[in-house]
Amino acid sequence: MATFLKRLTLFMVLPFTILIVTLYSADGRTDPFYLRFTTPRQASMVLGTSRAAQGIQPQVLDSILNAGGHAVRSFNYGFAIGYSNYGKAYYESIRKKLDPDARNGVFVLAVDPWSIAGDKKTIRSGKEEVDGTFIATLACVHMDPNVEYLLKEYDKPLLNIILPDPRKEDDRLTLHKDGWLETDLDLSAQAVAERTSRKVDEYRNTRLKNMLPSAWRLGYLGMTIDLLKEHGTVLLVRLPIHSSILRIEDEMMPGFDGVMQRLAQEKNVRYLKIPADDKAWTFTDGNHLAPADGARVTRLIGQELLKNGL
Amino acid sequence: MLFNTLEFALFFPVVFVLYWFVTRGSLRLQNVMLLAVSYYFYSCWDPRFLLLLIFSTFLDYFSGLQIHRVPTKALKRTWLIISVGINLGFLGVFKYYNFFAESFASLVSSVGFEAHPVFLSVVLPVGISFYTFHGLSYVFDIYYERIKPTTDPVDYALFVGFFPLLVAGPIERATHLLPQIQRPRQFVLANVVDGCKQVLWGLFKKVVIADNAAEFVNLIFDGHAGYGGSTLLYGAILFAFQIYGDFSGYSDIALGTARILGIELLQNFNFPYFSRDIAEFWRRWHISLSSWFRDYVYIPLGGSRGGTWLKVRNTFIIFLVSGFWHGANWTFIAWGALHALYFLPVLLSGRNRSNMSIVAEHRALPSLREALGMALTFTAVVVAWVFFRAADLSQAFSYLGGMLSPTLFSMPEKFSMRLAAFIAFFLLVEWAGRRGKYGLQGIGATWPRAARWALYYAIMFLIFRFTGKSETFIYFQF
Repeated sequence: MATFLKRLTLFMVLPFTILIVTLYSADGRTDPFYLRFTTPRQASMVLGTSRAAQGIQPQVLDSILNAGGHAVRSFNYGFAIGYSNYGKAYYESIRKKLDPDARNGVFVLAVDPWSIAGDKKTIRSGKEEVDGTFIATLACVHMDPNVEYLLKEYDKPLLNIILPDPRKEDDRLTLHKDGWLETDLDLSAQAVAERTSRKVDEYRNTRLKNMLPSAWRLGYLGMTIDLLKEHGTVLLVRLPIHSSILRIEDEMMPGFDGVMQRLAQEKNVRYLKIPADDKAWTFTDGNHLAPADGARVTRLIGQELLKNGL
Repeated sequence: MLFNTLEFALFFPVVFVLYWFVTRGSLRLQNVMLLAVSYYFYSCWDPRFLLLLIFSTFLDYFSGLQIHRVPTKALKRTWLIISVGINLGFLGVFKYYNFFAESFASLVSSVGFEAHPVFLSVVLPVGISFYTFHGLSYVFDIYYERIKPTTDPVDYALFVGFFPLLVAGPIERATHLLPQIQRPRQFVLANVVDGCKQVLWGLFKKVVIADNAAEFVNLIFDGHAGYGGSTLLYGAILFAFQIYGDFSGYSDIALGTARILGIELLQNFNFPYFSRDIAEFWRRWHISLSSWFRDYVYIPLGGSRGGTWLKVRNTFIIFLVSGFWHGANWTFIAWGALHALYFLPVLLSGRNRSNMSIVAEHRALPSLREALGMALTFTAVVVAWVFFRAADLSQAFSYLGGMLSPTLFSMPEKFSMRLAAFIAFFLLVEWAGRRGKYGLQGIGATWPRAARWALYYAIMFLIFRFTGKSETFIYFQF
C-alpha cells in the first residue's frame, strides 16, 4: 500500500502541477462566461441575455455615472438565451453574485420577449423549474480560479486554456474583467448582412417555433426587481435590434412593451425602450450591437439613470 | 454520476480511502460501506430509481431463498416464475410498454381500424436492463442448482448494486462475483496498478475516441439526406468506433475501478474488431450479455444440438431477443435479425468455432486471409450498426441507400485528419495489446519506468487536450 501511494504521488506531481497552472491561466479568452464567476460579489450589475452581455459596457456606464457624481462600479452578469432568461436559476445565481451589503447599487435589467420566454414543451409540461444549465448548477459564482466551473462546466478540453484551441472556436470573443463580452467581427456590410440573415433564420425557424412567453418567468423578473430594489436603483431596458428580428419577437409576444410598462409601474421602477432603428445602430448580426454602438447605448442608459436621479 | 466527471473523480478517492484504510479490518463493514456508496452513486441519477433497485434486489434475494427452501420442483418453479415474471414485468412497463402500445396501434390502423392507446409517461430507470439480468441469472442458477442462495442480504444487494457495474454492466454471475464479495480482499499492488491503467485506457476510449467520433456521427446521421455515399460510409465507420469506444471504454473503467478495490469483474470486450468471422465477433463483443443469452436462453432452447430448423430458430430467437434487449425500437430488432443472417451460414457450415485463438497470435501482422476475414467482418458489422444508430427503419434504409450510391467513390464531405490519427493510435495500441485483457495492459510492461510513465502521460495529455463534446454513455439508455 505504501509503495502504491508513494508511486501514485510521484506520478501525479506532473499532472497536478499542469492542472494548477491551467486553472490559474484561465482568463477572458477561456470562454464567454468564465470570468463572470471569478469576480467578488457585486454591488451594481447589468443583467440579461447575450444582447446585454455584448451590448452594455460597464466601463462606459461607470464613467457616465461617476461624472454625474455617483461612485458606481458595475459588472455585466448577462449570459445568453437558454442560460440567463429570467427564471429561478438566474434569480438564484444573481442572488449569489449580489453583495448583500450593497445599498446604493445600480441594476440595469435588459428585457425582451425572449428573456421571459421558455421552451414550449417545458412550459406545457409544467416543468419550468427543472434546469440543468451551469447557471442553475454552479454553487460558487465568486471564486478565483473558479475550479468548480472549470472542472465541471467548461465544455472544452481543459488544456485548451493554456494551449491554442485546435478548433479555433470563440477566438473572436473576449470577456473583460467587468463582464462585458467584446466581439471582434468583420463589420463590412456584406458580412453583417450574411450573419443577420442567419440570425433571422434562427429566430424564425427555431426560436419562434419552440419558445413561448412564460408567466412563470415574468413572475421571476418581478422577483428579481424586488430583490435588487432593496440594494439600489433598478432600470428595465429594451435594447435596439434589427427590425427583421423585432418583427419576429413582436409576433411571439405582441404587446411586450405594455407588459413591461405595467410591471415597471407596479414595481415603481423605470422602463426605457431604445427604439429599433436599422439606420441608427450597427449590429454584428441583427441581434447584438457592434461594440461602438454598444458604448453609445450604454451612454444613453447612463444618461437616463442620471436624468431621473439614482 | 458519470465515470468521466469531476463528481466521480472526487467520489472514487473517498471510496478508496474508506475501503482500504477505514473499513479494511472488517469484511462486513467493508461490504456495508460499498453497498452504501453504491446506492449513493445510483441515487445521483434520480433517488426514485433507488426504490425500484431495492425492490428488485429484495425480490430476487427472497425468491432465491424460497426456490432453494421449498421441497418440490413445482413449488420451485412457481417461485422462479414469480421472480422472472415480476422482473420482466418491470422491464416491460418501463422499457417496452409504449413500444408495444404504439406497434399495436399501427397494426390496427393498417387494417382500417382506429386505436387510441394509452401511453405511459415514465422515465426509464438507469441500468434497469443490467440489474434485472443480474437478478435473473441468480434465481436461474439457484433453480438449476448451480449455486446455493446467499443468506446475507448485504452480500446479495452488493452483488446486484456494486457501483462499477450497476448502470451498464458487465452483467455479472453470482457464481463469479458473489464468492469475491464473501471473502476478504487483498491489496495487491500489481492489480491496483493494472486497474489504474485500465481506467486510463477506458477514459481515452470514451473521451477521445467515442466523444470525438460522436460529433461527426451526429452531424452525418442527422443530416444524412444531404450527404454523399462516402460521407455516409465515413459516418457509419465512425459510429462503429464511437459505440466501441463508448461501451468498451465504460467497461474498462468499470473493470479497472473494481480491480482497484480487489474485485475482478467479467471481461466484457475482447478486441471484437479484430474478429475474423461473425461468430468470433460475438465471442468478443459485449461478452457478458452474449454469454447470458447463451446460458439462459440459447442452451435451454436446445442450442445448436438439434436439426437445421432448430438451429435456425434458436439463432434467430437469441439475436432478436438480444436486439430487443437494447431498446424498444424496430431498429434494434432489425440489427439483431441482420446479425442472425450473418451468423447462420457460419453456424450451418460448422465453421462457427474455427477462429478460437487470438489473431496472429505469434506474429506481428495478420496473414492475408486473416486480414481479409477481419475486413469482411468489420464491414458487415458496420452495415448492421447503421440500423442500431438510426432513429427508425426508414432512416436506416435511406442511409444505406445513400451510402450505396455512385457518390460512394467520391471524397467525403466531412473528414477529420485528427480523428483519423486518434483512431490509428487507438487501433495500434489495441493490436499490440490484443493478447491482454485490454489494449494497454501488456504495453510497456518491460520498458523502463520513465518510458512507461511517458506513455501514460501522453495518453493523459490526449484526454485533457482532445476531449470530445461530452456525451452520456450510450449503453445507459439500455
